[in-house]
Amino acid sequence: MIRIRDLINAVTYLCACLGYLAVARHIGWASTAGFWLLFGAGAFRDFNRTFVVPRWLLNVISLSVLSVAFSRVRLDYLVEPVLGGLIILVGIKLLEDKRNRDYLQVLGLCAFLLVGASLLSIHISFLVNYALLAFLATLALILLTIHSHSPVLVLDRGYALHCLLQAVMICAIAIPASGAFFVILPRTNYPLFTFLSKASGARTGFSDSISLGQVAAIQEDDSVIFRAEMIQIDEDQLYWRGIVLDVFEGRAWKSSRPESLDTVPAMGGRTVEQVIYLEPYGNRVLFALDRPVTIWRQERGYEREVTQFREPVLERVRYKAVSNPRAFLPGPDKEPEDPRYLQLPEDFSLQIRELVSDLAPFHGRMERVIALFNHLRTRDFSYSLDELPVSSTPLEDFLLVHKRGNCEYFASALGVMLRISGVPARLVGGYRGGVYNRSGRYYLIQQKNAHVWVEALVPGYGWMRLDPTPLGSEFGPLTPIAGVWGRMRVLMDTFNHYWIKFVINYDLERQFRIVRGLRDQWRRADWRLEPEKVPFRGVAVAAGGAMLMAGAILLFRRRRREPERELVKEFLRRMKRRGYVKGEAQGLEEFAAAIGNAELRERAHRFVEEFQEIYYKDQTLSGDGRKRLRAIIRSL
Amino acid sequence: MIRINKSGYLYIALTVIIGFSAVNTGNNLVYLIASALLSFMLVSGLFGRNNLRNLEVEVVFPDEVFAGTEALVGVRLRAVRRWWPAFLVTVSLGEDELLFPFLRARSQDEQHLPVLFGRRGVFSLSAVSVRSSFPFNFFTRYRNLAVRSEVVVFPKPRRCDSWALSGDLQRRSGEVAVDRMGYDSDILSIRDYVPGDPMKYINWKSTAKTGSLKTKELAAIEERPVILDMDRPRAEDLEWLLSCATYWVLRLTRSRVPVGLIMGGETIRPGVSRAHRRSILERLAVYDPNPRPD
Repeated sequence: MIRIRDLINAVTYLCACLGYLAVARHIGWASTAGFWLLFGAGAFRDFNRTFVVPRWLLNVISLSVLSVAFSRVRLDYLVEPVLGGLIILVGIKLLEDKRNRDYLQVLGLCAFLLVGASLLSIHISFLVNYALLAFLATLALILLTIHSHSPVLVLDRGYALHCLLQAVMICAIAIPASGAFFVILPRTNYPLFTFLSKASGARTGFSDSISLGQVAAIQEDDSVIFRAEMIQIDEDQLYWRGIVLDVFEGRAWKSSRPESLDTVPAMGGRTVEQVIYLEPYGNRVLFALDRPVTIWRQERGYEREVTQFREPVLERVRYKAVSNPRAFLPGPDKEPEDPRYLQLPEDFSLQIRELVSDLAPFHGRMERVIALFNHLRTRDFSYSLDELPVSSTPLEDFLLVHKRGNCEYFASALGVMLRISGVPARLVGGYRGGVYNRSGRYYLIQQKNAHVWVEALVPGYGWMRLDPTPLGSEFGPLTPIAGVWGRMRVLMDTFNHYWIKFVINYDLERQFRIVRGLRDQWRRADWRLEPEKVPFRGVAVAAGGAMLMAGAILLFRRRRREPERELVKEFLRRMKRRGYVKGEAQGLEEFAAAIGNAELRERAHRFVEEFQEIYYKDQTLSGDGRKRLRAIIRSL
Repeated sequence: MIRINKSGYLYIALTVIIGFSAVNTGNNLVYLIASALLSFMLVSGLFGRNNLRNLEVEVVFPDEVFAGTEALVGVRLRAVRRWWPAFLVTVSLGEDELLFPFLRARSQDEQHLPVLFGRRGVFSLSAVSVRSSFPFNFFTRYRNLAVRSEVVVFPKPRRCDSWALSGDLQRRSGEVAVDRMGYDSDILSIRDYVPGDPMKYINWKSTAKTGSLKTKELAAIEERPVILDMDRPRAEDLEWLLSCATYWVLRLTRSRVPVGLIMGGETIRPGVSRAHRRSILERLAVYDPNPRPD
């Protein structure tokens, strides 16, 4: 036996815990401490019934907490203080001598906490919290309804279990049904409060310039930068182009056209389509498989070609790209040579100039390119993330002394040497590699895949991709993640990808697409029957399935009803067909007696007698009895 | 019929606020919460509807109900369903209400309600209203369930003098020997002894005369029947007379005095059985001095 009040308290405290978990990451320690203090005091009060805190006092405290919370609000720090205040309010409500409406308020506050959490984080863990909170709130609401009718009720085990079962059933229907609402709820292209949504904050990692030694920090970073839905291609083609760095300043590379992804015209050959889901990372650069031909993005309901974002990416974005994944694309033979691709700082290192003239004394541009590239790939240069040369002349140190460095050093060195030897060259920043998720059919690119490579302009070949960085095992996960843990991670990422794809990125455009798709299918459908087009086997299977289903439902419904009632119903139906309708207040016997046709009357009498013999003597209707009664009905 | 409760209005307000925020933040997770609020509203409606379906109510009146006296009316609720129990069903009977907190599937529960009928006559009940706020206290759903229940409310018994009803009630009352076998009164006849006859009824005088054992047969004693004549013109108020008659019917039948009735030109012969008493009381209950022509 459980007192209903205790049960409601237990469920409400669990809801409060879930509310706290939803926002735990986003609130300060003071809010956390305050909440748990109030939570503990409330639980002690509720389960021991020891003291009552005056309501007016709690109201005064609530008002103060809210004013403090709102005083901390700034335009760029809006949701967190409010959530901190809300969680304290939940604690205060728990401490109150609760009436039914107080319990409802706790549930309402928990809903608001969940809303707040959704504005700050878009992780799939939201879904777990959401489902659990929905279930507990349902149970609490059922119990509160019972409590409001009979406050002193003591639930026995069966009653409590049935309440639980109802809550499970309601959730089992309502949570999937909310998916349908999710799809059809109206959306707009012009939300008013976008400033509230601030998903997970900007990430560092990719920057629009290279100062040597910076990438090392990023390559340790496991966080996801983007996912690209596409077919699987050769690993050596997995270069994700981001930004072109063409201005060299002695120690750093910069872009003269920052954030603009340069595309090339389609030159024939195999193209690869990608749908890219870019995580918020705080920059405006787009990424696509090298070399991108076109990139489209849905903006305000239209699909348009883009090369960069207008705003830094602070929320997840989705765009499409078509690329030609070859290492070089035959460009026009005489591309006007832009002097900026040969630019070098004045009085740039004599030592490197000497090294270049030693290495590549050739006349042909291609030969020079090969010689310089091979110098970095074949000599005792090695890849390293630590002990990077830190000096005022990092490139000289790298090329002539240390010979150890990360991709930035290799690419910078090759770029500079090419320019010295008169070959137009530029650096390209982006990502290299990625893990292919076969079930989700997408590449997962992490921050540690960040990479820089070189492009050199060679007549007849156009801009040719050159990656001087040796591919050591320490560089990037070019091989799929192995082991049980790795597989688990890939699986979780698949869930997360679909979560982002279908839930987080659902928008007006997708809503339209669904409607358009349905409409087109309806229009396109050929309703004329042409024998050769009809898949007879399919139709037969479908029809058979439908008939089986209908039969099962009928059987179930029939069994569900009482067989005696069914028989009387059938009898009355048959009589109605013969023109005799039983009055509302008429007994069966009376009805049979009032039948004009003597033969029919006699048969009806037989039915009624036999039926009453069974029904009113509390006998169960046997198979024989049912058969006899049915036979009479048929004879009517 | 559905009525929205106070908490229902609050829930709708919460849904509207979160829906508005969803549209205006464009945040799909807020959309998800708004969708959940909507779908829970819808599903709670479905469950509430289901909760009131397949219920049967039966109203059971006591055998004898008198006007002005509280009668205990039984309300029987039956869940005619396979799986789902019924929660928090309130049955309204006029002003009075009965709550059935929990009723398992395929079971019934009965509760009693004291009901006071103000006047005599036939009261019939064709439907009772049931309602429930299950599963959430947001909406209250109402439903009328057909019942077929009829009760004849007898006039309120009122103590009165007997002369008011029948001038010769006093005179005619008392014991009287009737022409029926018994063991109480005068000798009716003498017959041969049958083994088993009590010794005290052996008529020794006749036995001595005839030489064979003879047994006396005695007449039974009965109360003198009383006929209440309602048709005699009187000065008193009709309702008062009916109450008075009810009192006497109850009192006389309790002491086994046969009672008959003359009313509206009809005569009911005196009798003492329970059914007889009931038929007299029913006549008194439905008596209408000026019946409307059919």
